[in-house]
Amino acid sequence: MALPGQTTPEGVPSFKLVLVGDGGTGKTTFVKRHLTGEFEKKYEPTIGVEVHPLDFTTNRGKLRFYCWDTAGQEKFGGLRDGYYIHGQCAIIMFDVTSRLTYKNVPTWHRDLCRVCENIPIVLCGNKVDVKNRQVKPKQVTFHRKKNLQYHEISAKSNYNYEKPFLYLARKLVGDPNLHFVEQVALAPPEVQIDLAQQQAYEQQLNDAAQAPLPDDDDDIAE
Amino acid sequence: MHLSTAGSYLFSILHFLRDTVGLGKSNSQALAGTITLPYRPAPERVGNAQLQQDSSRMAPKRRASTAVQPSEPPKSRRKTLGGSKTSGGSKASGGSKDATEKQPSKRRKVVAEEPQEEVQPVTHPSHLKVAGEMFMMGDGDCGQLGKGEDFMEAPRPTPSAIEGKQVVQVAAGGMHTVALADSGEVYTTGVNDEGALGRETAGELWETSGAAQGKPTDSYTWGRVQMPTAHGPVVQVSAGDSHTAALTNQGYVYAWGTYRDSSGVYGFTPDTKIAVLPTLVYSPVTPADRIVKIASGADHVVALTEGGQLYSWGTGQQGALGRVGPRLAEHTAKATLLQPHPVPFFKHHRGVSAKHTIVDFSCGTYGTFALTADGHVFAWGLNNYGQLALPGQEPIWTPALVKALEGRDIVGIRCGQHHTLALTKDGRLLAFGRPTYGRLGRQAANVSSDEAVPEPAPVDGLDGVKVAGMAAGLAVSGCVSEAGDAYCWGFGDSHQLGKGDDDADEVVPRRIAETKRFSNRRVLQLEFGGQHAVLLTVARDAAPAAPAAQQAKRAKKASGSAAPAALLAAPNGGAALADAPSSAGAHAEEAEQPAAGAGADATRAEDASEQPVADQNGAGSAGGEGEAEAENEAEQGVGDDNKP
Repeated sequence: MALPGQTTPEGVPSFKLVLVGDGGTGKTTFVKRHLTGEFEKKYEPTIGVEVHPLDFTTNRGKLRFYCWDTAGQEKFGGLRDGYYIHGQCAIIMFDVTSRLTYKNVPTWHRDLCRVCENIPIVLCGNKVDVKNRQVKPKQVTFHRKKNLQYHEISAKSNYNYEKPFLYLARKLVGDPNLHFVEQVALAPPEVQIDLAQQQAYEQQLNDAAQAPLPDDDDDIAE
Repeated sequence: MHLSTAGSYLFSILHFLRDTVGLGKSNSQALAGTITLPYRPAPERVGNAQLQQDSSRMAPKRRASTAVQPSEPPKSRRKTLGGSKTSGGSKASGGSKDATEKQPSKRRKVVAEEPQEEVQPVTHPSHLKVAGEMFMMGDGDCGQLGKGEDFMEAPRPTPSAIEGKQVVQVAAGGMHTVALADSGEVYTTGVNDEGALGRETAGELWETSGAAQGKPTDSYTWGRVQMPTAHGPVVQVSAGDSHTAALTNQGYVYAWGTYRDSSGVYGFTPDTKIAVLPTLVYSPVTPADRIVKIASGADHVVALTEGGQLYSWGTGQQGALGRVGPRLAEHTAKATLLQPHPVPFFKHHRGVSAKHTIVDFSCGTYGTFALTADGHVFAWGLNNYGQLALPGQEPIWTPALVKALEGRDIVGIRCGQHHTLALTKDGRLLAFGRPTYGRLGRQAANVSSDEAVPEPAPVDGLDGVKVAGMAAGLAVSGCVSEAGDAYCWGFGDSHQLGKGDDDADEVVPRRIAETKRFSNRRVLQLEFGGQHAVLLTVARDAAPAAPAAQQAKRAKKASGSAAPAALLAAPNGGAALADAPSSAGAHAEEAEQPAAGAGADATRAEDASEQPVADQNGAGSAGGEGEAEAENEAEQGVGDDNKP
């Protein structure tokens, strides 16, 4: 059964995945975890981007994300439209230990929506392996206002590595029950995550998702 | 022997040059590195004419066109400075030089180590002095609004008070906010992950810093920074993405936090990754070296000395330091980047005199603009959308004359991430840079495009509005009129435009609507953080006596006809490269201050009575911290692990 989107020469459906986020949030670390992708990556000097082919095997067959990772372009404060164009899905990454990197999330999101229109987007809070981080789950509200999926990940420990891809794959295929049937070959974890702690956070995230967003609109006097 | 003879010969030449030719301060400073140039005190003050002979300080101005001199602010201060300068300069110059000093200054030194109050404080038109109240707009999940962990957004202007304090200046960092209280204290709120708050809060940074006292404060509400007092009270603050800087009235600069580059945290000093507490980063050697103004970009700080020299430090990957090229910016030793060094201005520019007297400057997110006494604008830094109004889209690494702004009578500039606003002498705004989301305020701009628009053109929709100050953020813009009205335009997603639930972009300026809470306010200053905005305001009808102000407020006059004229000058400074003539207004502002304060107090008290519900702001002034905390707890009904 065919999946929508482009196909690779081998007949595997593929999607352009745009990976954005401030410098130092761990985007490159994240894509490099995927071993075959890292092995087959290609550098596109004209746009200053590395393209990693990330393969996943689902219950409906193989699929491939062409993951576009910027090479230091973030220092110019955002990417030119040529980077987003024809993007079919996106990951916006920030660093939960440095909430400064959360600052640009709304503009990353708008740039994606402006150029790519209605594509599935996942917001990823990276580095959750760092203890005592300051982002409290209830305080990440942006994805709720914009109806984005949010995942907490830890690239260094491989924690939740597949979650963003699974969400995107389900959206792109249009099958909410799609699942991965093979373990992706990932680089071995460099750190261990405190699973009990993280589960508590995940629980808080779920609770927060149930709570209503604050509504503080003031009456206009004029 | 040889050397000392040569040295004294050099001295006399140098002094001759200074007194006659007017050799610039920077020149003499360069020499000082090799021959330990003594600081030469100004002659005893006998009058303005005499002071002008103090060449080390006046030289740059003498080279400038004479037309602007009458309005150049630093001069007026110098007139009042008198001989007491010596104590300011004594620290650095060392003992050896004293032998060469003239008698009077020597005597003063013996009497000496005069109390520091004797030193005349530094002044600059950009120092704001009118005390008012803050209002916040925009998203604040991370405590930028200073209203507690559960106060996450202010779709319309919402008061944010520091208990018992009025505020004279605000600075908005990427994800934190800084307020300078009228009492000279510095308060911060927001993200402290990289030390930008300068005070102890809960979290990994402080736990591992070794500086923790075990008394973490709440990063989601306003808290005071313990500033060292050795160099006088703070007169100006600035804030970037992960740092905060503070200028004292003796011209010293403190800073804290860190500077980031495209790989994350780069460092604060060569030896310090992150400074969690205020750290002295710049000490003047001579009075002319004293800093009179500071400003921050995202990851750089620029400071202007009394002698007209610019210093810069931070990370400079996009050229924002104006003194390191592309290769250096990536690879240079941290000492070169992270410590203050002068921005060279000796380069010849076609048709413009070789050395320029910098009277003002401002920082964009990744760039810097400097304004010379004779009205030229120089710029350097990121230019990928034409935000420097310079040709090409490559970064500009050293000061470049902005020809597109020649002859436009520019008195102020504010630069955001990808766009810039320039204020003309007659109160009109020009915009250039990236048009996306309407940040230029230019009706004809293609707001869905990503194209560079480097040609300055007027902001639309401000007919009849005389602009006094402005601010540029990530993708938003705003301005304040002389009448104290605030306008915003551009990116609406983060509610920085203050339009309530409507988060659509605005292509042309839109006045911030009044609300029950935000009514009858005269806006003095507007600043944009990454996702929020701060308004510094006073009650519109600030009358001499409090009861009168109260009555006036009750009457809810829409227009502020009664506002003292002196207040009009206020917004110029912090929000813009200041208009030079406002130095005259500065004294008047001070005189008006008690009146404004009284009026505002009355208003605040009334605000509180008007809004008995769910308003965490007004309580502070009346009930003090304890009560406000209790109220917070009760309202929130949620445990707060940040609070002790």
